[in-house]
Amino acid sequence: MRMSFQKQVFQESEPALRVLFESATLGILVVDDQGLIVLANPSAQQLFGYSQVELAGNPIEVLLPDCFRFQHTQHPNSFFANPTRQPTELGMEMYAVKKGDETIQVEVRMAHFELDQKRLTGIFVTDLSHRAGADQMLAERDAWFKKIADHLPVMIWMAGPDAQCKYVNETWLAYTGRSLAQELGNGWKTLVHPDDLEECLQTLELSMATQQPFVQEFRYQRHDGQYRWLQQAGRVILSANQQPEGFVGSCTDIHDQHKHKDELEKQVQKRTAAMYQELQREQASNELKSKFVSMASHEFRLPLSIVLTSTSLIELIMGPERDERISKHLERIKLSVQHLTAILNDFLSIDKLEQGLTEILNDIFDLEAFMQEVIESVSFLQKNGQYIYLTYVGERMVQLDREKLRHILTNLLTNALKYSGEDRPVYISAENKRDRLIVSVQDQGIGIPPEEQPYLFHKFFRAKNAQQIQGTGLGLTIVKRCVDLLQGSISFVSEPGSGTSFTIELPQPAIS
Amino acid sequence: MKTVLLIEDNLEIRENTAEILELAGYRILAADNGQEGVQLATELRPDVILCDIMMPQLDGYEVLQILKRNPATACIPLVYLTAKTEKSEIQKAMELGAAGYICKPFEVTDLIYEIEKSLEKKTAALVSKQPVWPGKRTAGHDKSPYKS
Repeated sequence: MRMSFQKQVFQESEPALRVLFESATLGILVVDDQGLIVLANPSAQQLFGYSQVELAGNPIEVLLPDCFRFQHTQHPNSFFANPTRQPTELGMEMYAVKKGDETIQVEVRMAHFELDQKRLTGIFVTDLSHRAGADQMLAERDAWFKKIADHLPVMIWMAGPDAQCKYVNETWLAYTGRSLAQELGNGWKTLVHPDDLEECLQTLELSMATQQPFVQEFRYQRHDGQYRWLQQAGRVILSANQQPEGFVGSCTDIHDQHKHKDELEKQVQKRTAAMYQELQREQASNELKSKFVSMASHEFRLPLSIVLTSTSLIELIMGPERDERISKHLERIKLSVQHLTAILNDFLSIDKLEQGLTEILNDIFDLEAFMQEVIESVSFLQKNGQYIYLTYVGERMVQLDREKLRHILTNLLTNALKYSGEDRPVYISAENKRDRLIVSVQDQGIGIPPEEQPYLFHKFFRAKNAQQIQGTGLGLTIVKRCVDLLQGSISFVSEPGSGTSFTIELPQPAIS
Repeated sequence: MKTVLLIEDNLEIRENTAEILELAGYRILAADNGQEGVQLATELRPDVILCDIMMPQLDGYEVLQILKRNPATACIPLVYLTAKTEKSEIQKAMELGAAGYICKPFEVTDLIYEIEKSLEKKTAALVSKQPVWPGKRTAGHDKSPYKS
């Protein structure tokens, strides 16, 4: 009888419907009003592990776990009491039993229909065993993330766009010693130090407005009641359609570092103050030194003037016919006074240069004539047969600080004459290349030992082979400082016994 | 004979300088402070004044300012003879109207040169106020009077 009914159903159906029924991935069972299975499509057969022949004529309960069987036998009646052609909108999740008693999770939807005045029920079964696996995976992943979040040694939080807290991790709760409920919403704000809360909220507001990440520091109350410095880093989270959903951030207790930093800052301040005091002492000492140099210069000049004028008077009173020995000694006295005066002048010059009190005063002048003037001024130092040869190339007018140049040339020429012997020529040359001036002073004197050359421009430095010749060790320091002030450069080549050649290069503006 | 007023508070320098200048053929008036110097300059009108800067009572700058304010003494050239060697001091002196500046210690030749130069400038200034006669020359000076 069952087979003839099956035939009848198929006879009434369209061939397309049959194809649909046969190929549907959904399990479809047709049950009669007695709850007996009439039809099962291949997917249903595969899902439950029974063939069509094994299922047909068996009650639907064979596919249900034992604990549901009784309830379910009641169910079709209640279901048939209010039949509808529409499949139930919501699927019913339940457990089913496969052949061999394996329980599987399925979703079931049902629909009633009538065929040849027989009430039939279509049961559409979806296998949920895969979804159950996915759910479990998701649950496992959630647990995994929660574990990470809770065990991270930083306090993690999430909040809505209105700064209402939605989540804090276990680390946070352990830090505050409060429950999650106490932290949620505005709860978190109650532990922020009152002096820091406004700035803290402003930072969040600004971040929300600009959607820029932020880092801030504020004091937060720990479980022991102590306010401690936290460093908070956070950013705005965006939804899939790029709308701000809220914030996510983390806080780290940096109180100890902060304290350490404070201590360091205090130490830095203390040391800076000490250095400042030291600097002031140094300045005061420098001022004192300058005053001393100035005073000494003045006080030395008086007795030197008396010595020099008295010497001059002896010369004048004795007249030119005096004893040669007397003349020699009078000359020695005068030279010594000149030397002492030169030392005083050097001390004053270096003091001024070191204090930065020296100004640059450029003026336009005839350089060749100026160089001749300088040569003339050092001529008293010339030894027998010692001549100074001047070579000049280029435009004669230059724009330079005349006095600085005088210091430079006088010192270089004085050295050339001092450190070379009789009959040794000294060459001074200048080349005016319009935008720069190159001057060199060359002698054939004692030269500078190579190992001492690096110290040549150091204050008070005197080469070993120059110890017997009078000098302060300040001349070349003054030259170097003057060249630096004029933004030029100085170099030298020297060989002991052969001589020394100094070259200076000075920039000079075009003369309009 | 030209008269030189020497205003210098240091006795030895004053005496030595005066003696040197006398030997060089000048008549010397001497004062040991600024106030006395101004008084002598006003009363005796020397041809040139040699003046120290750092002195008690009136310093060299004040002496020059007072003399410049008085028409009777305004034209007397004043040469500073000083231990102040700083450029700023020299500049200040020249701006006040000094005729010259000699730094201590000084050579006799430099001293005579500065005195003669200032006298020459004074003569030139006086001559320029009168009609210039062709061939008329201003007085020259020998840089080293002891050589002739």
